[in-house]
Amino acid sequence: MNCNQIREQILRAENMGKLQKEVAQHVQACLACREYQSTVQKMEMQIGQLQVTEPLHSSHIRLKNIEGRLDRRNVFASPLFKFRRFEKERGRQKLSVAVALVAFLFAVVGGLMLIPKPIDRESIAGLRVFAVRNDTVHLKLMADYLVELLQKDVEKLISVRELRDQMLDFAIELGRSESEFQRLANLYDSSPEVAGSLVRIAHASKDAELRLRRALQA
Amino acid sequence: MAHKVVKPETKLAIFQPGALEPNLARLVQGDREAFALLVLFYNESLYRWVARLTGNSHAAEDLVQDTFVRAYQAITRLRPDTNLKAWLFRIAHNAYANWVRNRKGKNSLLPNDVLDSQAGPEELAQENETSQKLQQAIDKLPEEWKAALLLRTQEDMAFREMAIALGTTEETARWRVYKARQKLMETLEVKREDAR
Repeated sequence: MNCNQIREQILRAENMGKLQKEVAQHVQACLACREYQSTVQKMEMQIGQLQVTEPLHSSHIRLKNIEGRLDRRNVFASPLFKFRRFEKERGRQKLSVAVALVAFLFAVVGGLMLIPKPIDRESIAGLRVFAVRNDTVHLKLMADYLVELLQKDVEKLISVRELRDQMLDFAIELGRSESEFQRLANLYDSSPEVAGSLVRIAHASKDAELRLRRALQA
Repeated sequence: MAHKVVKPETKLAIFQPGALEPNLARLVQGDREAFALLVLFYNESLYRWVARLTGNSHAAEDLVQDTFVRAYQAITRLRPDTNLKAWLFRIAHNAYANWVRNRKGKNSLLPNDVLDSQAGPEELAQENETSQKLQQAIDKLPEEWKAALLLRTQEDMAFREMAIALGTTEETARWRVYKARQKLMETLEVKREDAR
């Protein structure tokens, strides 16, 4: 590894004091990299020591306030109140699915921008509308489409080798989408069709991410 | 009448890592005493993290209070293997994300009042200046990178724990810390060169 690669490894390290063997050996032998490591380490220490103003309330007053809020909630938790809250939360859940899907589509479209010849942009615009509607049938269609789309487009991305950093970012975005869709699928476990579609999107994202990473390693 | 004497070491023992885990069963049953212990244990570190993220002590106070109220409401869903610290920070992170969302478009910039910049002796002036520069550079980081970096540096969280707290994967957590460090190094390097 050269100095740039070593510095990247230093920035990626969980613990500056426990670097990989190869990195540690290089750092020991190279003065510039040793200085770099020491600067990063010093910077982290300074961040850890940055002072913040004292909280307005002590822990005990905070505890009293919290208990006060919890007790108030119990007093006013009438069945009607609970029902309204349930409705509101359900509305929020639906909205969060719609927002997540739109965000995912933007990520896919972002990925498509990297491809020399983008495919089927009209369909993507149409899918965004379905995502906002958030109904079972269209969600299923969207899952089918995205599975196919990711299969095709990741293969195209792999051929664009010079955009390595952007591809890596896209792979990470796909990984995040996977965990987000798994989480949403868990929320919808009472509706197997919706949950199934979300799980398929999650798997397609993971699969695409892995293929992209394998290509990057190669 | 005999008073119950609490030995200092007994009192301190509750603040040792892992001390809360035996209380998990009591927490799940909604035991207020066990919950009080949880509040006392994590109050300070949650406040420190949220204050640094929001840059505003009043907002941080409200968010920490919301975090504990939400935690209590969700406490019956805790599992025996739950990482309490990561779980609490996750709730705080969600509360913070809502706060950021609600503030967007309102165009109401709150003054940053969390930086403790008390005037000190002359030899501390340079140190204060460095801290301010560092703080400014941190403030300019994207929210997600900042949250991850502060968990690493202030809370000494491992990437695995951080992933739970931020609701993401271990690799994404690592990537966010990497990008934050890289950006800070670039920014501070430029400032250093400008100062020459």
